[in-house]
Amino acid sequence: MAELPPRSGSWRLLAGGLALAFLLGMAGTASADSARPHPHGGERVVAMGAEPSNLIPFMAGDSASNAVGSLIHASLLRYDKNLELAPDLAKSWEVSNDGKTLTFHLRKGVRFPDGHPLTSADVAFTWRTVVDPETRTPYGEQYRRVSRIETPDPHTFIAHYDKPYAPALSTWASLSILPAHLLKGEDINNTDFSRNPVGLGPYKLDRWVPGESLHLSANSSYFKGPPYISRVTFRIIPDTTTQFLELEAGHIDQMSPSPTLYKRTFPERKDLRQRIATYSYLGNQYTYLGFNLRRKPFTDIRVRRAIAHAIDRRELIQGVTLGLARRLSAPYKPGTRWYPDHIQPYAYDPEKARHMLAEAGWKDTDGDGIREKNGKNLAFELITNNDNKERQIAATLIKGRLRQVGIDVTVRVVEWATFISQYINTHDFDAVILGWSLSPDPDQYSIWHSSQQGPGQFNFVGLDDPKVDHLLEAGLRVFDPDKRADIYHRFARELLKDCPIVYLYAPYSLSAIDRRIKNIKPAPAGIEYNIEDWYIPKRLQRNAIRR
Amino acid sequence: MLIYFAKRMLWMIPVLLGITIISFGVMHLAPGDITTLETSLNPRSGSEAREKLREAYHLDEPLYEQYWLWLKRVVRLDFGRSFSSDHRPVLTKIGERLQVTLSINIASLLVILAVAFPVGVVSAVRQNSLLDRSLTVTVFLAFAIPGFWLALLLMVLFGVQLGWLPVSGIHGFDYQQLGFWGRLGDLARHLVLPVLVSGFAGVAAFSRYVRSNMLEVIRQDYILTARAKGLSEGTVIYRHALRNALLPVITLLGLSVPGLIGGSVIFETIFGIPGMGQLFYSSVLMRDYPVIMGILVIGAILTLLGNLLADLAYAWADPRVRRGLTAQ
Repeated sequence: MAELPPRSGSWRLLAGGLALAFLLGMAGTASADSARPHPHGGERVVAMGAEPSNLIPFMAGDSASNAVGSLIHASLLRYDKNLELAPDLAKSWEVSNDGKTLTFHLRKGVRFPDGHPLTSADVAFTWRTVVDPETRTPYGEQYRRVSRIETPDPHTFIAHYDKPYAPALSTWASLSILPAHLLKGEDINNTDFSRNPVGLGPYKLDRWVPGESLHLSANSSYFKGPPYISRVTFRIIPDTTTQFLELEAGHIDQMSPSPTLYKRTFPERKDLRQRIATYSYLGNQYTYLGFNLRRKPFTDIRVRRAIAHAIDRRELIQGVTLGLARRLSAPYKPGTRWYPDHIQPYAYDPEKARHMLAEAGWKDTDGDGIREKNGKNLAFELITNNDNKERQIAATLIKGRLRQVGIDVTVRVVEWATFISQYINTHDFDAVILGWSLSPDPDQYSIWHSSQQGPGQFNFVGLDDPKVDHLLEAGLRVFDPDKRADIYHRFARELLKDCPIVYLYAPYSLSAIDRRIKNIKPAPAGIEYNIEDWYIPKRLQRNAIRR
Repeated sequence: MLIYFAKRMLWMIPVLLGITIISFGVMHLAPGDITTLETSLNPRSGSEAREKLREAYHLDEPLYEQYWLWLKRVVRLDFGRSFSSDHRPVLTKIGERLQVTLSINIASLLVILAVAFPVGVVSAVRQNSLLDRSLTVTVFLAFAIPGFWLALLLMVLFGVQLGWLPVSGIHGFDYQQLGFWGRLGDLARHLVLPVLVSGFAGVAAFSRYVRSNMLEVIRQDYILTARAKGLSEGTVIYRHALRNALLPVITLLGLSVPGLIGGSVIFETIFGIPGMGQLFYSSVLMRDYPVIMGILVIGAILTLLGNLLADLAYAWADPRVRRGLTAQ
């Protein structure tokens, strides 16, 4: 977070003080006529790298659709700044004692922008749509676990499950509620609604210029009151350098800079630092080195652990992300309740790695620097995708470190679709560098349970540990957050011990935002969790941005 | 002449069919399909969803069956809907971007012609003079400069430092509120840099072409005759020499017709232009078959038409060719 350096001279301090007093005065008058602490109005222009594809959130998997959709729509529950479940359209919820029934009490008086009130029928309609086999959504399965729904009155929605399913609550936090009155009878796959959505979020879509920009304005009927900033515009600018030039020229307010821009360019440009604030916070994913546990030499846990000791994570974080990442020892976000305290990562210790490899029978007998056993070299192929520069650098650094302990690594870079269909889904790989998301719900059944190893399923590393299976199954049945946390802490420790993957790093998300936008408070959830509270002081609101 | 034209048009049908079969086959050689991408490595989605999607897109059927399904729709001019999650009609998606790419490419072609002709003619007429040499050096420098680098420099200078031109994009936010002239001005301001940069390398190639053609023509006997008749130098060069030197350029223009709908990915990415290059590139990465095929078919038709047009124009411009055609 680049802060303004103190300027020399008391005169400047005095001037700063005057400006501050002036600003406070302005804020005072603004709040007097709106009776709220911050002024309304202004426009925030955000650069995005790709165009959203579909603004019905469960129909699209891309992050651009998500970023815009989350402003337009709302769900029954949401995640607060510490990634804890919080009420949203539902003002409260109950879980039955047997864990099979969830009851949501909807907020009263919530209306769609067209004036139509929200009722439990809308929730029921949304659920029916997402589980409809005709609907082309990748997310249907988790909602098909609901065996039956009930809507006893317009403000109560009840979902019954055959078996207790603890992640259920989180699924209701990601299901945007759609207006039944507008979508009834429409073909959800080909509806105009996907580019012309009406939702319950803080903003509504005014105009979409294909390939260029999306223009949103404050939803005056938003149930928490309209957000302070009146307009949000997304501009589609694929190239980060161009985004930066637009930011420099003052045509946009917000972008996600590359680590190089963040670490090298911004600190050197005094003029920019005065105008632009930079933020870094833990992102939503981590990068790992995954082994194919079905293949030699990775069937031997000593080899996996030796590799974990041989990789210098500090070097990776410096070399790949310029220090803008942190180490992990569990697949959860540090700072949330799911991340276990006092978990000890594998330390960088090449001596120990050499020792472990020797113990496992891998010795360099012919003096070429590569260990062998029964006449076979200790060698493997490390695959990653070609459109991710950071993973490629990581692979190169890892190759160097493993060479030092006598392991010969060949790095191979392939195109994403090929990578998934030819290598991952068919389990035809030695080791890969990939990423998993740090999702707010701790359940990771589909990634680590031994039953999830079919072609195209996510346990492609082939972990098969009864203890892990047992904990993952237990986690599905327990709703109490404290008890759940205990289960997943034990799971994370077990996972670290098994070492099916080596956690490399979790990159920070980076943002550069014009300082005229106030009230941005980074938290474990990132910065956009309180987007309705961001505001622009009256003095700094531009009627028309220079373009 | 008419029979010739009809014959050529008829021949285009089997050629086009062949192109689509080969394209369809090659496209499916690339591993993976849209469903591997839409559901890949997303723990919230499952394999059941993937099978459902494969069925919905007919990806589970044999290749010839898929091609037949596609062909049956295309002959009714229905290119289908995109596989990507916007599910929009392919023709709408292409149409939106085609206008952008076409206008930029036509503008830059005009710029290229306007600059390349005088440069080429002057270089030829004053062959090996200081002017010719300096033009040659300049033109080759322009050819050698990487377009993306030049684009960034110009963006920094005109967009950021001077603030005269927009940095990227093709419309201002207030475009919709502007009148006709306002819109034209807005568009022109946005297009100056992209057109300039994309024309830069083209000038080099074209002017060299004009120069060498001119050099050849100037040495012909009829030029000597024209001079001997006592015509002024201007008339000799522009009426007698240039006209003949232009003939091969027709072929070149015909060949550049399909190029008009093609966009450069790098160039569009830097300028933030929603053009055909980006659409094609992202469709290939996403294995969005209907869009890929749509673009390929349009490209193929334009290539064939461009060739035909060039031949016809050649016949119109060159009496010798015309006589040859009617004799057929």
